[in-house]
Amino acid sequence: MKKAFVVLLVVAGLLVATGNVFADTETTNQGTATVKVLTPLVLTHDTTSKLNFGSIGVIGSAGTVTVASTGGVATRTLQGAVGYTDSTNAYALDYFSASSLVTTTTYYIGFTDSVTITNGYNTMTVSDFKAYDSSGNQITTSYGNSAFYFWVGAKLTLSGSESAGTYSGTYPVYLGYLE
Amino acid sequence: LVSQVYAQTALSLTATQSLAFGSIIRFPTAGSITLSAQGSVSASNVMYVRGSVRHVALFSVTGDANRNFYITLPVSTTLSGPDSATMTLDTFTVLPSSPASLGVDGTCSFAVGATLEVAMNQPTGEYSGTFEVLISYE
Repeated sequence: MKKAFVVLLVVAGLLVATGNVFADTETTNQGTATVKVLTPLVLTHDTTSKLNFGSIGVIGSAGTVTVASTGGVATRTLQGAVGYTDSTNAYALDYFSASSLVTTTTYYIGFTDSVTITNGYNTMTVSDFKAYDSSGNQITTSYGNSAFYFWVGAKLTLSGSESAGTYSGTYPVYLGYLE
Repeated sequence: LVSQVYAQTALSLTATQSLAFGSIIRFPTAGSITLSAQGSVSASNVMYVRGSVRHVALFSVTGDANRNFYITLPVSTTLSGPDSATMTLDTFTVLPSSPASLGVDGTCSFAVGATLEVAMNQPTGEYSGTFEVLISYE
């Protein structure tokens, strides 16, 4: 009877000696995922509209002609050895319309630094493109509009040695979501 | 009798960074955008807005030093948006791959990427949702 009791004690001791203390062997947590869905922007150029510097006369040295918006009306400023040879309203701003289904984000309007226009023989540089709203305020972004409009002006630089003729060219306009 | 008891550190899992796809531009057709666990982005019939902040989800783990653990991710989950609109998030990937190893200090971090399914004419707006991550000792 005494032997049997001793054996039971030993068995109990072994059970304790081989036991592990288990903590959590697995756990979970949650990650978060987010996205903002937008629609493509649509930029439309009025094909009857063009950025027009008018008729310019050069006097053999450099000058610039700038078309801008003042209070929503096109204005032309001449600097250097250039003069205009046309009627008062021969120059004009260019016109664009833009639209999107999203009104809760900001759009940016961007231009290239400069482009060249040509008459087939000589070139001139058009630079300093600016966008204006209908009130003549220069804008680089627009917020909260599903449709908006802007007008474009720029600066024409002449060396003074250009041959006569009609100079033309194109310039890119960038419209994008601003993040 | 001297008892020998092996203690085991409880596994702990903390989410330290969300999975962010940033702003995307959807097309009239269905598409998808994938953020790999490595952080690269690819898209089909979806444009992602340049400059928009996007990043993988990050998690940190603590547990027994030098032990391996499994990482289990869901098959898919749902993101909720405006007017009860939903998007499906699936094809989860993880880096390092499972089983990952806890270092000598008993810690490890891992990244999670996934593919976001963009439905035809997906309603615009902001979507968010959660996905459950399970880790367990090997």
